[in-house]
Amino acid sequence: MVDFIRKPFIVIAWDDLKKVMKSPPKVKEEDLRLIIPAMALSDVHTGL
Amino acid sequence: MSERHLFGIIDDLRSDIASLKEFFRIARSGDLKTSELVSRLEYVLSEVESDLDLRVRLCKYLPSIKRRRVAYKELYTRILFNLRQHRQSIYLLYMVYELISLREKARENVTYRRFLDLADKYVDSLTEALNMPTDLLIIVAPQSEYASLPILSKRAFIVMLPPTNLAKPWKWVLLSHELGHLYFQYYRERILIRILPAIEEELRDVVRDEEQVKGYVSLWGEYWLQEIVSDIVAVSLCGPAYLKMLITEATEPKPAQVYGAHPPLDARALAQMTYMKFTGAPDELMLIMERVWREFRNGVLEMDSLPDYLNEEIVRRVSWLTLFESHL
Repeated sequence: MVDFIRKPFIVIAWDDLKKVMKSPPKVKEEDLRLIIPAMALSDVHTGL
Repeated sequence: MSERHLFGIIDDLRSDIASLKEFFRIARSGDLKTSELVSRLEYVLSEVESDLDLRVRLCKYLPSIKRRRVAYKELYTRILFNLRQHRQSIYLLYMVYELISLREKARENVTYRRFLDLADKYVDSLTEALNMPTDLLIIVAPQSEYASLPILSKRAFIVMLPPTNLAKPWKWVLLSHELGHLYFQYYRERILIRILPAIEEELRDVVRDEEQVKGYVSLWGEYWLQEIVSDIVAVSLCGPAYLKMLITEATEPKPAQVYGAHPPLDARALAQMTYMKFTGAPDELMLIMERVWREFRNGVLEMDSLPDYLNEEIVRRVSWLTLFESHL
């Protein structure tokens, strides 16, 4: 039954999001789906 | 009996359309998204205009059936219904015009223009992650609060955020909730058919009065389910960051309180955490979510629990059923 469930984006991207939280300045604009929540979670509000 | 009033309404609508056409012509800008939206809306105006021509012909036909009073009144009323629909379309287009104007005003500033471009790009990428149709035009506009305006007949959707939040991109995760409303609008029938009967079943366990059950089912179908599903869409896209910014934006000293269309914050947080748990989210993600919520909730004095008609069992069941909406 679990096979029918599509993993949410955030679950699939969680490891990448953690990387972004560690080094936001290296990330390009294409990764906004990661940068924006990373900024919200880390309280680091620079780099965009 | 006279058709004079109908002609008066038609003339008034025609002059509104002419004004709106002029407003949209002025609002059209070098910005591709604004321009595309204006084109789609101008098409709506042309459609209304053509239909008004047809109504004029019907109005001219009315005197010939004046002696058949019932037939006359039926047609007269039908024309009125139709004209009222056009009136509502024009109100909607005025609202859209105001939003476009605010967007263009903000774009005059270089910094805000860059932020708006990024916000547009951000919502497009979230929409893509949601597997929504690719021909949807989604456009960000500043307004007093986070909100959305669907114009689904033209496959357009406006998401709004306060102008003060334009330069605070970390708060844009809240736009994902607005996209949740778009998701709900698209799959409304399917979601309601799947989830509303389960809600009704749960309600019957806790609410004895049949009329009350019907009333609460109606409120769930009209408002609360859409909000919970929108939160689930948002958390599926942004995770704990969404819950954190929701707590910030809601600024809620009474998290068990129901405010009209919105379920209590306690219910919204529970739905998000339950859903993420059901998806098999990583432990670390869950720990952060629970910590974010606990840090806030433990500080609030309110001891009330959720009302029966929005209780934890119902919220958990909604989260579970939403899990099987494969598009998420």
